[in-house]
Amino acid sequence: MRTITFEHAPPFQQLTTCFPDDPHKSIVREDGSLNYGWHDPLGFEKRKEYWKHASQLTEFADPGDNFLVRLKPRFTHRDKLINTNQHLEGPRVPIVVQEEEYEHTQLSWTIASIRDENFRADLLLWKVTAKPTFGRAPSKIELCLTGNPKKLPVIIESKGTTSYWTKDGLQLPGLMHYGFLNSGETKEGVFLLVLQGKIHPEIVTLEWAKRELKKVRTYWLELPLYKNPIQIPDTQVQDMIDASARNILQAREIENGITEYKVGPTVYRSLFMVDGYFLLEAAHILGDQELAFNQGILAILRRAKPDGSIQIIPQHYKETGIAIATIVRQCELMGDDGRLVELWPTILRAVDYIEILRNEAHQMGPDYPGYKLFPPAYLDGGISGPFPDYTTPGWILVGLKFAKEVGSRLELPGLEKIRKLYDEIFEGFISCAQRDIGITPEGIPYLPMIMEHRSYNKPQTATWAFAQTIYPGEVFPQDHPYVQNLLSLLDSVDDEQGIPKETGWIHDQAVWGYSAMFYAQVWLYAGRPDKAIDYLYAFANHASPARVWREEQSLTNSRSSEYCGDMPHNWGSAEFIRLVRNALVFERQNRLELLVGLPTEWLPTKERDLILEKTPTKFGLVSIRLSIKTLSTYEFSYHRDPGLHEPKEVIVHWNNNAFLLSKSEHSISLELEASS
Amino acid sequence: MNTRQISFCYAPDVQQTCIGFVDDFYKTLVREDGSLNYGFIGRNDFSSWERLHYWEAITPYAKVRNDNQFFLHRLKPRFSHKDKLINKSQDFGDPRVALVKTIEEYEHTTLEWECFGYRDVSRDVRADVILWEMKAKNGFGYASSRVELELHGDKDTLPPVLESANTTQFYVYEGLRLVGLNQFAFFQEGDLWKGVFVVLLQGDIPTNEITRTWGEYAREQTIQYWRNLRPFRWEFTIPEPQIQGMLEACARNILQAREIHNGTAVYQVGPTIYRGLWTVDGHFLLQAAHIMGRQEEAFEQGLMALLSKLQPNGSVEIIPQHYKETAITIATIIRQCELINNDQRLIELWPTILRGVDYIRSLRDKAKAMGPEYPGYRLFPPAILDGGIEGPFPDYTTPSWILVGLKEARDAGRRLQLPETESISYLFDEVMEGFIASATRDMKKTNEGISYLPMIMEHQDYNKPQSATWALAQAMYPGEVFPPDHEYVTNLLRLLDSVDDEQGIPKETGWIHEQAVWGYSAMFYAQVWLYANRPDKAIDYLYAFANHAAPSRVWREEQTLTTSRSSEYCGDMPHNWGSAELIRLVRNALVIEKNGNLELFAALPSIWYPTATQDLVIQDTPTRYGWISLRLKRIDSQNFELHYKRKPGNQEPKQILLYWNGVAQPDMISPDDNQLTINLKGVENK
Repeated sequence: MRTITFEHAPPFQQLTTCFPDDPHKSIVREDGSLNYGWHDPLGFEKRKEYWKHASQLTEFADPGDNFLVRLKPRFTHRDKLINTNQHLEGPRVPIVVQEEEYEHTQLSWTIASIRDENFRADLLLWKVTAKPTFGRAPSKIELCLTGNPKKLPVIIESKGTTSYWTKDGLQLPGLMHYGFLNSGETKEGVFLLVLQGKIHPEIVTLEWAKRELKKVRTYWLELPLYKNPIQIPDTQVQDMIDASARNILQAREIENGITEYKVGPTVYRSLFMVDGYFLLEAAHILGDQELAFNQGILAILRRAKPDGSIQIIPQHYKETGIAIATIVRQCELMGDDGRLVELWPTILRAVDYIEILRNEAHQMGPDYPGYKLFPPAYLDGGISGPFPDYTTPGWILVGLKFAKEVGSRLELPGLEKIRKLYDEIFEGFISCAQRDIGITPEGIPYLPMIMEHRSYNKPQTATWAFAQTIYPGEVFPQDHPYVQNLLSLLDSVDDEQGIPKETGWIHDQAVWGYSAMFYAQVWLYAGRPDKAIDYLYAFANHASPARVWREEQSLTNSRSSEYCGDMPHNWGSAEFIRLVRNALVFERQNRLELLVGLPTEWLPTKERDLILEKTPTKFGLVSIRLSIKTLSTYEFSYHRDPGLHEPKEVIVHWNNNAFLLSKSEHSISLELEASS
Repeated sequence: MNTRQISFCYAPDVQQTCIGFVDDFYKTLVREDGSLNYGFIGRNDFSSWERLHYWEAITPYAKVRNDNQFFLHRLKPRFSHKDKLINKSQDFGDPRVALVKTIEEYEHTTLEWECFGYRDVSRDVRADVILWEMKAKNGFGYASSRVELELHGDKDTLPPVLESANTTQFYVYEGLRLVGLNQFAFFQEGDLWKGVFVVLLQGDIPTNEITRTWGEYAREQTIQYWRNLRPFRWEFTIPEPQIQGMLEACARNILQAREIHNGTAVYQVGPTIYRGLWTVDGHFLLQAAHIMGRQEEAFEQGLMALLSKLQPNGSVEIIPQHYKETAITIATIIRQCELINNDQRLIELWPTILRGVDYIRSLRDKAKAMGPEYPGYRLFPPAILDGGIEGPFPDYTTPSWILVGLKEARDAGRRLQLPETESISYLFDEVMEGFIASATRDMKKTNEGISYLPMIMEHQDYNKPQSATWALAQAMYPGEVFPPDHEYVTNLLRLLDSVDDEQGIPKETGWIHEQAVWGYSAMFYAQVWLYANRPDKAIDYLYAFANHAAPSRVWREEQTLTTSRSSEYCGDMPHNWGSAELIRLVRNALVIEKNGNLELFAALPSIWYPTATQDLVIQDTPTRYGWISLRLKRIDSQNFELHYKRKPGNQEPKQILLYWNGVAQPDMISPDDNQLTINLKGVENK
């Protein structure tokens, strides 16, 4: 039985309490602190060749972990912490409850973001109880600041939070005269951190705060996280989907009138090309198709350059290939050939740019290892660069393949050039790969992602793009040696925590959690749904209990404390949703496959059917429902609203068998026997 | 009798240890967690509106606090890998040496570091050095790591901090350095890494000099500096090593808190909130400096510092309305001249004293002018009390110290036949009468039936019977305004005895009125116990007071009771009035001036008896009767030999009383004996 226990949660956790599209990305840490003003202390120039910037002028460690302000409630009396615990009110409700158990005291607080037309604030309701053994002590609840006092928001406290037991004496540092807390006594209060607008302090009472909390709880419970139902009978997975969907909306932000799906609230508070491809797809799955399509494509087009490239990160050449693929995929999912035709000139300019890159590589001469492919490029996801590499041709092949297929289907101009370029790059890829293929000590062939040897890199390092070339790119068929070799390699490094290790930026004793989701899609594509689902649950176990992920983190039992990237990292959230969807409704080689990765944990119960309604595919909107019919049978219903493509086949996977459905039937109901 | 073990069992939670040099401008403080702390920003304007009217300063806007305890910068070593802390400890080694070692024991790692001050006078360099070692235990595995300094505070205003070469190393020269991802060199099972950080406070050290070897050399230099310092110029040896360690640390700390202002070495109370000279603290700190053999420094420079506070109206009032400061100044001038045996200087300063007396007289006139309805009509106008009660209130701390000042002036004036002595005497009598009359009116009883004098003349629930009795205690001793058997003395001691059970010293005597102790106030009371012939209680308080120090042998002014939930504290740390009081009590336990007599070994506990290898020695300790030297030697298990010497002073004792086996031996030493060897038997001292 697969379970989600968060056993590999990262030690350093962040969650957000903010609203969808909120410009104020309030972050709560694992200790219940509120964190504001994230900043990157390094600066771009110190990221590369960092060793050249090291000097004997020491570089300090920052207790605020790069937030300008960190605020944590505490009491001012003395006690010994025994235990601390954090939980969200629910996967849909980003209201954080933090509990601290002391020998003689209990302190708990609840954090929620609130807003109305006049303000946006973070609410912190605290409660302190003195146990019977407490005795008495002057005490108050205060916010402890780590960081810069000049960057603090306005903080209002409820009346009585600061009170004194006497009006005599001097108030000296350390000597406060705060009101007494006595054995058995409970006190409650509120801090309101006003991030925008104004609120009259008199309003801020405990009763008001409780009403606000109720309001915001109702808001979250009523917020339609997905427009069309997604129901997985395993509630652990359902909760993960709910939280993932919510987090994607919380990270979203409106920039110059466009709603951008952003990766995270801090270091990746932005749109990135490849992340965007998958985030937008997840948005479609969640039913936000109009927004994802209209605004998502616009956000990408804003990155188009006069030379035809569509690029955000310098020398990240494959971004242009990704942008082409994104445009095509978005139009497919939306069923909008008109928009595709309209954007075809943009795609052709991007193809021209790719051709220029090819020529640049060619001009570097045959001694250049990437002569048959592209100039040295920035890889990302584990290897920086610039290097002659395979991630660049990987995604460019995907982009050209998508363009080639759509151009062919719609008989659009310039198709031959795209075909020729695709074939040339594909040949170049095969030819270079044959030259560069290596063998691990265990005898597994693998393709290093750069064309020069670096002992720093692991065989699996930065294989993210290669995996995506395999699926969803489908550049290589499922039985291709590249596919099989990659899966053998991944299988050899996934024992420790259930997902492949050392695939990303941290090359030692670490995991890039959601990279496992790229690989899971390849497992699914290659006919190993069991491994895909294993990775799904193992990936969930790398989330924090708030059901959000850090991009990369060290292995749980290692001494290394390295981490990297954002948290919540919503490419991770998107990948979780995508994998669940694809496990049930999967587009493969012009086929529509249903229930391909359905684990027994997701079989319906009396109380919960398995439901996926109007999930977008290039074959149209697909709805499925699996419910218990009798003790030994299930009822499976399927419906498809036709899309731009017609599937060659529609296949239902059940009990390790595959049934072909008539592709002309858009609605069907089947009785399926339960497995013995 | 309490257990006379010093285990620091009542040490305060927040601890500060100074690693600065003698007279150092840079008062670097090391906290209980091994952090170095710079730039104290807590104000010492004790009369500010916010401090007095704090309850009126409540606003709906929250005031946040950080963990820096009012320091701008806090630097703490840590490693960058992951491990679980099991235990944390500090080792202060040789009490003579200001060096703090902090040890953090983790499941798989040991990290330890030593902090000490460093200076190179030839290059005008003053720095703090952190010498660290990190060891990976068995089972560690390996991890990317380095030892780094966690900075709490603003980087821009911090002095430069240098690290030894290779402190920051990378295991690879590739990849991107992203937030959280550092590529630091691998630290592996069995590895021992060593390095040094230097906080450059003044001057410059070329970075290529900053090596571990340099750090170890700097450490040796600093240790040698401290070992050669000799805070006690003359021998002062107690054979009980716990007390000897306390004495050495106290003397060192007094010198560390000292600072040069306008060319004058000012004995300051502490390095942070009390980084200054206060009149009453100064009175005792200067006496301690005399006991340490630093008489010239204390007399000339200490007196100068005090005189610089004189106002044209004859008063000294560092704190406004702290009227008794003028009298304390008079007492200090006289005491200083006594200890240095310089009547000439006293005569020279007599006009200053008379102006002080005139000022006191003007205060009396003011009180009288307030009319008989005013409770302090027969004494003084409403005054700041300090030490537990603020004010202004009509009070008893003000007349207590004024009586001491006037008594000292009267006695000195009579002895030297100085002008206007009788008017001083008249004023003394008038204040004394006023005190007795008012006290008779105001005397109260505790629930246990103990009579006590509340220190203010109006009832306030906030105050405890023992609150702010510091000045009354000092009026008893060293003031000797009331004889040892006076009911005020016995009442006060009964009161103290009723509140000293919890941690061995009286509680709730100071600013924190609830579940707290003002540690060194116990030393004022111990002097009263000694004065009232209860040396056992005095020594009990001495040991209990020592147990309220941090293991670095320094005190916080006030702290809450160890088992209470209250975390309040107040005042400075190291608080060197506390250091001075420990020295003074040990000295007075051996050599005390009382009732015109010189008493020797009045409170000699048996655990201070000499051993076969260690004599008890006090050399040239100053009194108004001259410099006294004692050497007590153990001959065998039952027999001791005492060498006594006195270099006469400007006064002669009526008697010299040697206490032995708890009994005064009046005839053993005569005031005429300048040098004597006495054989003593038995060890049944109590």
